[in-house]
Amino acid sequence: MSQLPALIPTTLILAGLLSLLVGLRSLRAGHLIALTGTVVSFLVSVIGLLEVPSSGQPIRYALGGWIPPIGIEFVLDHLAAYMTTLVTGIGVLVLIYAPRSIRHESPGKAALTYPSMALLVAGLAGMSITGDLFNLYVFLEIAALAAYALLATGRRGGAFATLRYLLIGAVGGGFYLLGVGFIYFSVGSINMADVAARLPELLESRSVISGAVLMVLGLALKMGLFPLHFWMPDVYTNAPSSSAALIAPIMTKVSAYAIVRLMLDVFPPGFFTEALPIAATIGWMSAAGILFGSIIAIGQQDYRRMLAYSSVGQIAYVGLGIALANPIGLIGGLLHIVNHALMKGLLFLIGGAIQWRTGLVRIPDMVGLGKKMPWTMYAFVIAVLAMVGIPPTAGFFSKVYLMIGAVQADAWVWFAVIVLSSLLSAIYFFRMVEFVFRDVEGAEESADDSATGGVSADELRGAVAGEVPPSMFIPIAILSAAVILVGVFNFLIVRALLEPAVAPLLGG
Amino acid sequence: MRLNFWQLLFGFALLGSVVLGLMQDKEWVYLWDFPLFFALTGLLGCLFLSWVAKGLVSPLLDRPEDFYDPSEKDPDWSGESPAVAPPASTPRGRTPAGREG
Amino acid sequence: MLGLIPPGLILILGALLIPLVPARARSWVFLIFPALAVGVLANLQPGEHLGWAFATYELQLLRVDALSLVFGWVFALATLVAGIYALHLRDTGQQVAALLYAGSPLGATFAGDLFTLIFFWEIMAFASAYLIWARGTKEAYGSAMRYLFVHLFGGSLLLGGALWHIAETGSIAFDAFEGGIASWLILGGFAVNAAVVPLHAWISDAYPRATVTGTIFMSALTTKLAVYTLARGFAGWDILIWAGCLMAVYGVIYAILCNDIRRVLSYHIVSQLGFMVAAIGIGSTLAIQGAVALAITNILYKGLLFMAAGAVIYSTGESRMSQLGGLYRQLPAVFWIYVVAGLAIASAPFLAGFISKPITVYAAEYAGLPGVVLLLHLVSVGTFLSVGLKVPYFTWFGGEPKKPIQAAAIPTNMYVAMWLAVGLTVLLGVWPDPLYTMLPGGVPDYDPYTVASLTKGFQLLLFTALVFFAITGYLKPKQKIQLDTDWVYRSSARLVWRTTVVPVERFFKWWEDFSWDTTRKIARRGFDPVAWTRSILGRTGPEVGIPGETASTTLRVSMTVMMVFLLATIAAVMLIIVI
Repeated sequence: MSQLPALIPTTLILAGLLSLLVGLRSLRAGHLIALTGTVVSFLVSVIGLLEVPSSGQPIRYALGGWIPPIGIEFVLDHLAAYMTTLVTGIGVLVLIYAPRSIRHESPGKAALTYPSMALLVAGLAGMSITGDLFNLYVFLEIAALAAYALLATGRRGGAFATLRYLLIGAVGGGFYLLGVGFIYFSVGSINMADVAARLPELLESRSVISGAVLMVLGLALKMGLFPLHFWMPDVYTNAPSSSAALIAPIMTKVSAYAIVRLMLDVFPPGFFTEALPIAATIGWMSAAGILFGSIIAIGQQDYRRMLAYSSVGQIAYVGLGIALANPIGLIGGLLHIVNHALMKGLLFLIGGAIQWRTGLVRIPDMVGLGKKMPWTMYAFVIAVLAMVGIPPTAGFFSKVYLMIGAVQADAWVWFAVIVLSSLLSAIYFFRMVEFVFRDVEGAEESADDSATGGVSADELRGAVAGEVPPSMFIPIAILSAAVILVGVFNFLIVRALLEPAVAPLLGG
Repeated sequence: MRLNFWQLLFGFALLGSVVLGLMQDKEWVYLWDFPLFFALTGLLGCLFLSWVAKGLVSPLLDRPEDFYDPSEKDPDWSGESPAVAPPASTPRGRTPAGREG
Repeated sequence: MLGLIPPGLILILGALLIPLVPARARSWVFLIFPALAVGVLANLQPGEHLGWAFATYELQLLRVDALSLVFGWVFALATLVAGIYALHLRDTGQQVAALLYAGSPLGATFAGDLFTLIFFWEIMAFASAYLIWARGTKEAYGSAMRYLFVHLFGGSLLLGGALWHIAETGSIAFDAFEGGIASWLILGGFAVNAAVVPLHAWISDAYPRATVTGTIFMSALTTKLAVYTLARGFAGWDILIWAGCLMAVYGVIYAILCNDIRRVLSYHIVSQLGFMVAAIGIGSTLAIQGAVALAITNILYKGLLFMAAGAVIYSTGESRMSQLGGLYRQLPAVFWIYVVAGLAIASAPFLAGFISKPITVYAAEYAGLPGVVLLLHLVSVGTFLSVGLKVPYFTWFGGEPKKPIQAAAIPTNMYVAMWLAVGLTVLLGVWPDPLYTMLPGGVPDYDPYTVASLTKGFQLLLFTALVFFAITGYLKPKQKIQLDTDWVYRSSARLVWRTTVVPVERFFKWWEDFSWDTTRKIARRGFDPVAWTRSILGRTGPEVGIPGETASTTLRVSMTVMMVFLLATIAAVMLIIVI
């Protein structure tokens, strides 16, 4: 049982490497290996998810048997289990979805895509469970490199956007590493628990302060917190749909999680709020980001660009949860990590489905699509209802927690921002819903959309209800159900996982 | 003046209501206890309201039926014209291949 | 047998079941659900409760008292009548939406806590927006979007205020509010649905554009639910008196001016709501009874007015009075139905309006507000003028239109529904006791039928009519629209967007281009510093292409530049620490 945490990233890394080798010979086998690895990792995460709340104790694993704080350890506690399950779960769904989508959008690159996906999930899962600050950087870079590879397989514009992301990501990672360095200089350790134990005496030191600021700054860059978000729109627009569906839901979230981890378990309670105005800064940046993302998304004509700006706004909700720094606000932010991952993942998968079937990416072109792809559009409506925050979908509850947190923190402006942003999201999403379901003359239900870049009639055979193949449809259906179920049962998640996770905030 | 049945009936009812009104002997507590108050309200009120509506408000607020024409409305709703082009972030023209233009 | 089931849920369940019913039977099966709801209502006794534990809260799904019961009854019955009116409909989407839409106010009326209320409130917004959208015209699409956003805005105010209230008081109960910012936010949310001026423009924008059958549901439900919630939460708040007076006058003036029949009726809803809102503001038992009675009877004859207007539109395809006229020969029955409704809404004796509206005026008099009384009397004149005289005259008489109209036959079910409503209007008018006994606080201390009140009623109506027939030409409808407060978000939306969104995007684009340009320039200089210095000193001619320069080398150098920048930052930070 104590081996559990290690299994999560290692399975994925192994699967990724194997998949790369095997995939050069047989694409199917390569995909299968990557998928199997992810599934195993997901199952292990689920076991951990069930085990940790019942025992109440985190599962610790020392890599190589070297005792921390010198050795690197993995710590699977409530929050970590929560994150890895999310990350690996999304990984499974996207890997199921990927083959047909990749064949359509970036043919010939499949052999590289599957291993990259496995490595990305490995990196992010590793980030979630590591108990060592430097190890976090290592996994961060693993994930980043895999992401660059995934994104660069897109269309021509993708290469440039990825390059820019690479540069900015390198800077972000660099800042984080620098921050870790400063902490190490002052504290003498990079094991999170150890640092936490030793920090209280050293809080006045300049290097600790700089270290904290740099770490947060670097992570904020990777998270896409306004105004450090500018790499996001192009990256999401030009990436292949399955890559975007994997990266958008989880990549930025794990960076946000890392900030939460710093706030809760590394630095003493109150450090981010009283000693340094880090929380307040994040809060105002988040508030601006929420508004900015939502407003700019309104003007977008390209579906993926709209989702990108929407994501800028949504990750800022998590930032706001961090900034509120009270238990219920933070719970709201953490819950939003899962909720948004599910909603955005679903939206990107739907985008890929639309692209597969019809080749369309511009919203004005999608008029009347509801006739041709009704089931996909119903899933879209569910996703939209969740994004806007209509009960009983998941999106509603995280917003409610955030709002209550804002009230408790006397943050009236942030409260108003959250309320306003729901309205703004409604504008750009319902615009598209309305478009899609219009009764348009001449919206023939043609089976051959190869003219617009979609599939031909032959490829459409075997598709569910004439829309998309089962491998693409099932993940969409699963996520649609998840969006509603997570909403209805959110109190279970909160009680079992999130409340213990934020216990340190209460001074415990 | 030849009046038809309806007009005669109407005039009769009018007179009847006035007579009934004058027959009331209620004490004058409020303005509206005045015997023919409601008749006058109907008469003057209707004239007043018509004048306010047609004479004052209408000239100010009347507009042609197609005032909120789609071409003037927010283009997002019709989705036809992109109001601003998305920032061209792929600066192809910028990868230098010779002269700095 | 039916026990304690929230009646709203019955209809919502119906909405989910109805697509499964074969197409021919659907409109008939539709009627089962409000009928079931009525059955449940008959069994409910004041004082009954139904709680439900959700997370850490105890929701109140059913809170039965006189106020909620009377509204619940009328919502269920209105749905039944509207369902009969819509029997000819073959559009599943509308039927689902209508059931969802009718179930929500029922659910909201009996909601004892804020969360349940908000849940149903949101469903109501979407379902009714669909009924507008379903009309399928271009104006309907835009109108439905605007309607949705206005109602989501109101819902946000409600949600925000409710959360604030819960955070401050710890209680989720929906009862009378005391004051404080949270209450004002909630009031704002209710005010949007109650079409309080200036938040009222959605009514005149959306109701004329919705489907013929959809508008019947809408006129009966959204605004009257708002009346209920205001009565529950804000009875006695003085600001409502003034808001109500404003609404009453505002609505009636616009009603006199409008050309589209349903727009006249929509503005008039605002006016009638003004009476109710003002009465709620007065807050005395009598005033509340007046407001409630007026709401109930309004559902009846306002619905009837919309049904008649809907019949005209269904039959002729035209809704504007300037394009109508001389219809009496073709649609005489509808004319008489309309006349009854028009007289009822003007509080003509022996009809339902006579036993309800005067209570509110009397309550104002009793509360010592003579100005309000006079104002409301004036508004009553306008009511009769606009709805009771102008509309029927110019639609059914008033000279032949330029383009001759051919009236198609009207389905029997529409007539059945309309005559049913007419019957109820007359019945309640002469025998108000069933309504009076259900009012909160019992039978009101008011006797509608005195010689004095009859005389006043007749005087008012007859003299108004006299003036109308004298100045008919002056009041002739013009083919125009009138501006209203929705101009603010209809015209300026693009302008606001241009000023807020575009500059921000342009700024970021400029910043990026600038960064890249600078980096590139540095890179190019770096390739051959000598050539660059020479060009500065004027020694060489125009810049020529630098040998060995390709896209990839520039990129490499750019990256170097970035790294240099990073190192410089590190050095600077270390310096700061050392010093």
